[in-house]
Amino acid sequence: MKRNPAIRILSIISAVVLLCLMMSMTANAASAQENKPEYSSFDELNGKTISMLTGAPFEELISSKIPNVKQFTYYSTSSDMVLAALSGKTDAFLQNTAIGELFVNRNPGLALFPEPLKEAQFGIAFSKGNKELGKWQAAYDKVCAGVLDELWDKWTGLDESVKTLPEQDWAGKNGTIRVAACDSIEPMSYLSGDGELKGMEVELILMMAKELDYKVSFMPMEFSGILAAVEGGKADICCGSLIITPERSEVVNFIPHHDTAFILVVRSAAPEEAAGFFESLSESFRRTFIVEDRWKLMLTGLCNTLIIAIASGIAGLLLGFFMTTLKRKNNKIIDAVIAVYNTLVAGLPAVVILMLLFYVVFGKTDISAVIVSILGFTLIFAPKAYSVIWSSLNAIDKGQLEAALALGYTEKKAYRRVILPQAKKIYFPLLRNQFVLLLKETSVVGFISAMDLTHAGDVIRGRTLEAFFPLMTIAITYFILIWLFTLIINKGNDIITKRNAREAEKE
Amino acid sequence: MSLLKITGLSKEFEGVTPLKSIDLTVEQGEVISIIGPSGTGKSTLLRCINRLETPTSGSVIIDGEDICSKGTDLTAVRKKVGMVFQSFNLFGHKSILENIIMPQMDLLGKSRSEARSEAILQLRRVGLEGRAHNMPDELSGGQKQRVAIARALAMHPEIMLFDEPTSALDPTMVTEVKNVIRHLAEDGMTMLIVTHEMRLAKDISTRVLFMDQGEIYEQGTPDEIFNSPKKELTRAFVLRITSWNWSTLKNGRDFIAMISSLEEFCRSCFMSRKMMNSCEMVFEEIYSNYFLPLFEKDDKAGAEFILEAQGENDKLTMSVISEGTDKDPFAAEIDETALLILKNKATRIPSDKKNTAVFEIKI
Repeated sequence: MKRNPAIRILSIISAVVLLCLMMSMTANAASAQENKPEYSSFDELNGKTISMLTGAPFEELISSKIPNVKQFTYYSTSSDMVLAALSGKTDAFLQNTAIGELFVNRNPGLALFPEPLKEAQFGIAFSKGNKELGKWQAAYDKVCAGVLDELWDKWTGLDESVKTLPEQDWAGKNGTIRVAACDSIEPMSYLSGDGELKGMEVELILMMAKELDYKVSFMPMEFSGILAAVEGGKADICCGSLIITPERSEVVNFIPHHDTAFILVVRSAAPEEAAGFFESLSESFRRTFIVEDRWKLMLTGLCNTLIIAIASGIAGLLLGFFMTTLKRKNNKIIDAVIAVYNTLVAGLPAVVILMLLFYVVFGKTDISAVIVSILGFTLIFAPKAYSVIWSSLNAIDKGQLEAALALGYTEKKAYRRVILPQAKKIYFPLLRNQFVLLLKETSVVGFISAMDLTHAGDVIRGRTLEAFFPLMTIAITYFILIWLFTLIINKGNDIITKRNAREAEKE
Repeated sequence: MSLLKITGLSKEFEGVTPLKSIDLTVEQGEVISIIGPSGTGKSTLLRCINRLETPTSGSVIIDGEDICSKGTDLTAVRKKVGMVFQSFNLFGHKSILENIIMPQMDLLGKSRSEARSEAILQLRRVGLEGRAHNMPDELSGGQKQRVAIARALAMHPEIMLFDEPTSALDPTMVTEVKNVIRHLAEDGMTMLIVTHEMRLAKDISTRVLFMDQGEIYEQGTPDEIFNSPKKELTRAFVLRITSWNWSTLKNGRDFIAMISSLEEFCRSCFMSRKMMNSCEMVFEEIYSNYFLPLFEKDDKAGAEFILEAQGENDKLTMSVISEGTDKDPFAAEIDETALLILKNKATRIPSDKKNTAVFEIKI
């Protein structure tokens, strides 16, 4: 039964070494120094894979320049595309120049393709009904136009310390203006690590508002919601890397600001000499953990993962036990309820259950995502715990219960003293494995915006635009976490068993 | 006042022979064996007494308390009634000693040292104090059953129920358990024993109940039930389980079938291997030397063989009745070796019945 501890330790060490090795390989991949592009003419891109964000309609544009694209692939976030390009899954991806330059500045492994695909212009959108557009345009011309390039460099640059906004210290005699702002697209409009809305367009709006003496109330929201907010009258202005197109101009009015272009981002040409492994690793470490105190985010994620897993594990276990006691009563209605509940939970993915709870059941309430996660995983874990415990109880011979009853035990006490201790060797390892599965399964709580370890990693990836290091960090953290948990559960069990045995020995 | 009084006890449930209005009174110190064919409600009756089964109607009064009425503290009554199961049901997660200590501490509120000395005492009583620290899995069936008895005794019950205590045991282990039960009877323990062990029932009971179709069909002293049963079913049952019978005219002349049937009977009586061999050899020599030659000459001739235990000291006899012929088969000359074997294993004893030869098998 017991494995040799030396073999155990060896296997764990080798697993960690393996993960670190993978990490070093990825670190090397990202350690290119010069930003010279790997491809520099459209011809070279023939037969390559090109990616874009899901739903971006640019295949025709690309095909007009590069007739023989091998295939188009689609990703849901920009940081995923960076990861795909660096690992060779894709050869080029489409972005606007603002985001593209930011990527390239942050990530030496990437470079801008020299020829833009199509010229365009960013704009700040105003509702069609806004009669004061002229006033705003005048204010823009007066205070913004002159400093536009300065702002561009500030917000697409690497120096995070200069990316600050002016305080709204003016009186705001003309009232408050509502701005729907995208919460996640750097450098125009995004939430920084500490939850503050930042970005170039945010600053532009503040400058205009100061000139016109308006207070500004920002509403951060997903990109897909900003235009609708203006159209629907919930906001007066919206911003978020909006590129002026004829379709968009039909529903809103734009104040154009900086020129941009659709551009391909490619890998940089292989450098003569890669930076030192430890150098690049320490740079990755600095970016992932030190900058903006991102380790705090990781720590929050780790804590939330632990809280969600442990709380829902314990609550689910209790609920599971409670269900077995109910089941013992042999009541048809209770049995039916339990059966329906089990089937329901078994038939739905964890993510779907969480989203249903968060957006439907608790949609109207102000309950935190972590609490909903705990509740959701309690509901998911309970049937598993229940079926493990129930089947282990049934595996114990009926005669054991009868013998205990005949001696004068109550049924409850018979279960506690005779049946459960014997069922333990069946249910204990199964429950332990289920708990480990639960801990891993909690990685989906990011879907309902709970900040767990995986989601923290995603956020950091989104900010550093460097995918490997956070990913490997998270992999190693999960691995160690699960190993520790298994260890603690086993040790705890050993200690309890030994204590009971000692008590029995006392004479 | 009687220790146990059962009145009008009925139990009906699907698929099982019901109990039909059983009345039974048990006095202090009585040892009652319950015998009868399988599926006649013997175990159900026993299990109704400590309410492992809930009776449909009637009352079971133990020590003045009716276990069937609602207000009764079932656990308190069960502590007065020890039960031993066919399948032992020792608690698998506890050592032998702990099996006996735990219920005393949990249910009687004894201290560990009190419970422990009681456990040792009871283990000594069943001869197993040497195995106190073994786990149940490490014991033989007979030893497990003795521990189960010790566990029940440690609770100081006023009455002990045995539900086929030897049925799950190898023949070799039956004796040790039977001896323990015998000693208990001698110590004056009030007991109800459901058993197929007729010798046990015969030897230790003060009363034997024969059950059939959920009723107490006949009851009496062991002598009345086993030696002069009054009712037909009892007689047939007692005869069937205490004797073996084969008629060549009725059952055919297949020798292998005969030997197998004889062997099965010997096993069901828990005969020793040696004894069984003797029975088989005696039968074989008589059949092949005296009767086979006769059958070859005369197709209508036949014989009936009866093996039974007779009289007070359980003499085992084989009676051979010739049928369909006037000749005395035993008049024939037979092989000397065969004769020697026969003489070695059995003695012919005089019989007053016509055409009958009786051999007593030597023990």
